[in-house]
Amino acid sequence: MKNIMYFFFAALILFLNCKQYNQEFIGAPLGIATDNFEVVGNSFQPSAPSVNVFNQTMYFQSTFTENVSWTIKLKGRTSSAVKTIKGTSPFLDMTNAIWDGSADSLRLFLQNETIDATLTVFGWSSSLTTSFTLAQGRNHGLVLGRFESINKFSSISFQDTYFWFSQFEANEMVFNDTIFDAFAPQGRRAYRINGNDANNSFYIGKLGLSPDPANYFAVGSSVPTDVYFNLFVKGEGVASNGKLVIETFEDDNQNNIQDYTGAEDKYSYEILVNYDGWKLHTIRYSNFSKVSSGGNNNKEPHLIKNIGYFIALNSLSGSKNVNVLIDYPTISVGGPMVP
Amino acid sequence: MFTKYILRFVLFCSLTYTALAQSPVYFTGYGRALIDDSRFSSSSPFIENDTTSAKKALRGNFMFDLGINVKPNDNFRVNTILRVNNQFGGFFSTGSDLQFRQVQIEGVLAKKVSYGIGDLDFGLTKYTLYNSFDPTYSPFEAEAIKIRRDIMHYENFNTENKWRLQGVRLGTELTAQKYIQSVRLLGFATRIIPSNFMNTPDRLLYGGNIQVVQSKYLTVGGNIAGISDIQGTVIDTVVFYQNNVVTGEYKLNYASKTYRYQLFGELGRSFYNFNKVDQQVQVKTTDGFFEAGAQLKHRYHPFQLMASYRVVGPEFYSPGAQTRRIYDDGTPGLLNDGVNGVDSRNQTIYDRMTDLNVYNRSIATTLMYFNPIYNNATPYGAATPNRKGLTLDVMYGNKDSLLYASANVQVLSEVLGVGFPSKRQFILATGGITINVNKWIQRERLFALSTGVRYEQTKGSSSADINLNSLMLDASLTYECLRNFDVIGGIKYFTASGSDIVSLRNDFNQIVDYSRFNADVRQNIWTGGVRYRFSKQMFFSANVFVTSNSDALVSSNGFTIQQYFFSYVMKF
Repeated sequence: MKNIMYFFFAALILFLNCKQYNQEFIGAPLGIATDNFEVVGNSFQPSAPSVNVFNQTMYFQSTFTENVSWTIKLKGRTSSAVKTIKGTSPFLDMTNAIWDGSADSLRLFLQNETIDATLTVFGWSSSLTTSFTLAQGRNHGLVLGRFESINKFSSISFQDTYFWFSQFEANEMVFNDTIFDAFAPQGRRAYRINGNDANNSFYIGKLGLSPDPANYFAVGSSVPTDVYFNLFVKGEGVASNGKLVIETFEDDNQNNIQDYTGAEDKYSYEILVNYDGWKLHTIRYSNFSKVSSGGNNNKEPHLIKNIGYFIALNSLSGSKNVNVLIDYPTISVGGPMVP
Repeated sequence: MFTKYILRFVLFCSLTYTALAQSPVYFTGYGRALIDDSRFSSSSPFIENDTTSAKKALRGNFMFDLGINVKPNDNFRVNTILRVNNQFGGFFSTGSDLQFRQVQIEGVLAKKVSYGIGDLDFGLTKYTLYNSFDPTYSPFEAEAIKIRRDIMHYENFNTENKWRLQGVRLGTELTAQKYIQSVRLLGFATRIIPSNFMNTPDRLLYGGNIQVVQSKYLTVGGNIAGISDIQGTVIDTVVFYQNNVVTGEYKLNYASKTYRYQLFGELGRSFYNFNKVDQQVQVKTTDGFFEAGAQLKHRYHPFQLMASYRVVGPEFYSPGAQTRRIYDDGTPGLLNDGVNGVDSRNQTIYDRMTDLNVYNRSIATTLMYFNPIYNNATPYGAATPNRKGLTLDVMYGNKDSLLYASANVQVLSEVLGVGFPSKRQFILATGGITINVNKWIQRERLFALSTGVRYEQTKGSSSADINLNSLMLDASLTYECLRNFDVIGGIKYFTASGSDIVSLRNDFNQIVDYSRFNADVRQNIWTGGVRYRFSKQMFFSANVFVTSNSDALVSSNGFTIQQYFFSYVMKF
């Protein structure tokens, strides 16, 4: 019995050690609207009917009778891109309800599309809706391709970039075209690179991009740690045996002639496409690996003359077929592209 | 051709098994052949005017797990399970893959200390290390549903409430004489995340248990379950996580001529420390819990009654006990695309018992997302933080007796309000009854009827419109019409409606945001079929399942799937 008493005393000490809660509730304040809540004048408006988020501040305006938690949901009518903006305040203005053009999903808002905005408030059964046009979207850096045209060759002039494809062995490429994809991050089409490594060489084929012959890509920086290659890539699951390789060719001697013999710098970065669905890949140029034997060994993004996206086998022992979709390749400076 | 290979393989195993019956090597096995043929009902709104999504799916595979055990003496055993898996439609044996499913070493050191190394099952108490059942599981559900769920449990190593992890375990029992009868000690350590040598450190789960049996009247114990990153295992430390849970427990026993009485309880604290070194943000918190209860068991009849009260603090974190078995936001693998490929199908109770895609096998250090319709009262098991209240449990019989019945009621509320002072109240009631009719009419062949229920109610502030209810019903028939040939059928019905506010947590488990949650769904599973039992451990079954989902708020989520399911399962 004495042992039992000792035990109970020990338990009591532990019990009394339980935490005392000084606060009334946990978590961020919920900001529930009371029954008397109103939106003054039922007014919920964008800062302009046609907005330019590239170089202007876009925001929403409204005034409430209480301090409440509110949510604004944006949805592009064409792109189906979505964005949610949240806050707790008695009003909306340029201090708390700004939209920078970004999306929560991988899918991007499109230029000139109509966007619907819906305002809801916790505890308020109603909602208010407004709409506006996105005249100019977010700055994603240098856009290399959009792949929205059905005819791939009509896409050649996108963003002043030349476009071509090649295959490493004859008849290995099966598809190199733009294709409808319901989940394409930008627009409704993406570029399909598909082929079969018939001769067991790993390599299948590639999409090449070049600027105007007289120019280099307008990357906007000569510092490799500041430059990011961004690209949406769609994989076909863990069973896929493919990889996508991004390669860059620099014109080290600045003679405006692209050298393919390996006498100038060539860099690459491999993306293993063994996942299912779309993913945004962002690679710092400083993380690219040297491929060519010649060159000055200095990464000079401002001297990039040619960019290639090629597909290859990851392993000779797996499937010989590789099917990859890519969309919206861009080059950003100072940080990764934010959708 | 493929069947011939399989028969040869099984014959080889059987002969080898016989030959080695007296040797230190022996075999165990589990084989399974499954075929399912599934299709959407053409009237399903989910695929209305859909020209791109798949409407039918035919899948099948053969799988055989060969357990090889080497036991040279009573103090040492090595076990490994080799798995041969072949998807029907693969190129015969070259379409198969071979993998190690399990490797274990077990033994006894100096006749005192037992040890285990490799893939082991770990578990402690409900507040320290515990793998809670999926709330849609019921012990009263139909045999055909049980066949499907058993496959999921086998594939995910869900042995009761244990977690399958990779590590080492040591245990011993010391006997004393004067004041203490015996002391049982257990210790273990597992690695739950391997280092990538760059910025993700090794993360270990470790713990132990001590049980001191003072006499037949008193047992006291202590438990530790900790998770910690190992400093120095990476070049660039980005995060450092540590969470330790320390608990004590007791059992006081007393027996009269008719009843056994027990007072029991557990209490403890968690110590949480998460440092995001790269972001210079560190959160440290501690909180506790306790549970105290009493149990009454009849000595001669299978009847027991239990009542307990528990308080679990809002910041009590115990990943080993709070990690969920099911990803509530997991996308089903079967016929998941609809609305012209734009949308994915909602997860239903059918997916939760048939789809490996929605199962979680690893310990999560952040409280996982949960869907309130399935379990809003105890989404993280008994260790759900921010809950207090009473539990009543009554049980009569067992699964082989004429009558088996159980009921469990939990009346809970939040310890502190979430986002505002008003607290939610919960009622969670589960129960069911099985009548083994064959025992009643004194017939040898199986004849059982079962029914089960799960009801959950969430009430809260009317200004926040918190009022969510769900109901799940099970009904089952098992009838052995010919010798070893059973007709098996059943229904599972689920409905949920109402509204709640769902908390969104950050990486530190802090509630940083909320979203409104509304539901008005109904789900059904109808199943009927036959089963032939070759032996206690071998059977063939053929069943049809019709599962439907309707959503009054989003009508395009509605669908009906019909599935024919054939399974051949053997164990030895």
